[in-house]
Amino acid sequence: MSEVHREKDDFFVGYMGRLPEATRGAITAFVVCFLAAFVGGALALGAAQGDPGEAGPAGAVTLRGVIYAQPYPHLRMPPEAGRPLGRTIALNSARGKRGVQAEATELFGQTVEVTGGRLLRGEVETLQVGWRRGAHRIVAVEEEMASRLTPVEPLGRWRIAGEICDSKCYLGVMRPGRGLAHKACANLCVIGGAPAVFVAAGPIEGDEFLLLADAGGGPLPPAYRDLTALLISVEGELERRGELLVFKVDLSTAETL
Amino acid sequence: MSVQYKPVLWDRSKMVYDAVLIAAVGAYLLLYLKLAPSLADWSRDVDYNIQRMRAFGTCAFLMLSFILTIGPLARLNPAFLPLLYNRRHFGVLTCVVAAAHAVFVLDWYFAFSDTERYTALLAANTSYGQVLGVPFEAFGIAALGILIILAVTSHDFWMSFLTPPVWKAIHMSVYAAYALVVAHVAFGYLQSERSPVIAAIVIGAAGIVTLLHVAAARGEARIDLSNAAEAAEEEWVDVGPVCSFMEGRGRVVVLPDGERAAVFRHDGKLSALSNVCAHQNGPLGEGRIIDGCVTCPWHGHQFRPEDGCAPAPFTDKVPTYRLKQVGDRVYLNAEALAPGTYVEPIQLEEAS
Ligand code: FES
Repeated sequence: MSEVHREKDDFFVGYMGRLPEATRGAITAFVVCFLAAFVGGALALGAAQGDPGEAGPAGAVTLRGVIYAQPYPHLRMPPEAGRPLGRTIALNSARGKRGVQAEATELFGQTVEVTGGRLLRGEVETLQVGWRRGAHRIVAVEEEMASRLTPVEPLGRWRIAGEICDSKCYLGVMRPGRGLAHKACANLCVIGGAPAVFVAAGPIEGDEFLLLADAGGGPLPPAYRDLTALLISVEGELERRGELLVFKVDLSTAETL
Repeated sequence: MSVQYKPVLWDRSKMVYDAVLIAAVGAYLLLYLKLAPSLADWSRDVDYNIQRMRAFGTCAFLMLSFILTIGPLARLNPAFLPLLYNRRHFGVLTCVVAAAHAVFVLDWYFAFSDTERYTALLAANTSYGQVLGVPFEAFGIAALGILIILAVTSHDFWMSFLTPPVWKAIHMSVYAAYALVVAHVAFGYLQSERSPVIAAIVIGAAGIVTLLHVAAARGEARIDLSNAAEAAEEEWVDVGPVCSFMEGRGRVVVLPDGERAAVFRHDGKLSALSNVCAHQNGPLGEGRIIDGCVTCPWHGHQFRPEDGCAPAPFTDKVPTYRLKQVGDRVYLNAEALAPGTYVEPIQLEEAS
């Protein structure tokens, strides 16, 4: 080995092993910064993750009510003590990003028993019909219920600010189940049949959770996909169906806020 | 073609390097997933699957940021040069962590539907015409694609197969990958989370990477200016007084056409080579003479000063230049000779 190398100068050659004296300070400083950044970064970035909200599964139930398919499957129950408008619940499927449109369309207007797992976010609930595997559990029963439901109440034209979400993730299947990082997932859920909902920036007639519909009362046209997960304001007709508000939007009036 | 892609030798410095890397990544993931949630303010836990994709995603971002600081740091201060060795291990590990992030995302946001997950990834959000809500996944996919190409071609076999200039050009796309990663984070996670802490870390990391590159480029330009050779008669350029060449060391000179040559003094004689290492374009002039050979500061490839050839069994070659001494000054002929051309070293006569 040459003189130059032996005199421990600052020149490092990988295959010669040891770090030269003169480089040790710099390398140690780098390694310390590197490790500190990784330890500090993990804690800072991990702890800075926002609150996904109090949402998630809330046990299995069987509910009896009248099933509707439009704009998205939902179940309405007659008024009862403490619930003068009658419990009203959007229906999702327990089988991933799918919906129960087929069953709801077939049984539309009939009294049914629906079994599945509840998802709850604050006061708002949905039912994931059936279980992860197997058929959806929606069974028609002999009971006349439709005449006992509260009438649909038109609430006029509104412009409301909020975010288009899929009801399934927003109510706790994914935490967080909203926001721009979740946009593609939300689209995928609604494409698959999950009811699209509008989460208003503030309470509207006491509710922040509105079932979405197009102007004609059907499911949203594909144009909603550009707006999902953004804070927007949009105009439409609002109506009350039991405890659930339905917002029939005109997407051409949407503005990004 | 070179035969330098001999089996990787696991010397101590490599093992320490890899151990530090793996310890840092392991600590990051563990702390992010196990300790950080207890510091967070959640009414109910973020899904573990989402925490995991975030842990791997943010880790890959930090890793790539650190990788990109090594080059400019080494140019600003040669004491950082040892970090260049094994930088590829760092790169490959980053690619693995980024790929894990992608798999976790695919298996969560894009799973459980009737649409096949790769189709869903491309089809679920097609809002390419807008800034907010743009499919930021596309930036991530492109960045990961680049990282995979870089990881796969990181072995020396590919360098000699593709030739060093092509290889180097391909590997410069790491900058495109970093820009894409920053866009991926800026249009995705940062928009969703709106946390000043996360924004500060992302902007800080990208800012440091940018500043170091600007500083290194400025430093380089200044050195080029002070090393610029004076054009004299025809192609012979003045590269400085005899006393400016130190034994065992090289000096980079910038020729009138912008090319750089490295002039080395060994055993009282001067030789000149191209400054561009045949391995990965490392700056040979910043190397040293070790065992009679010019030794590149980046990965230690060697070349004989008199003919620019690597010692046997290696076959790499770099161009050489002719030198002459006139009085107290040394002149270099700016016309590069074919790689491997023998040039008799000039015996220096120190001016009395
Ligand atoms: S660039 Fe790798 S040894 Fe010179």
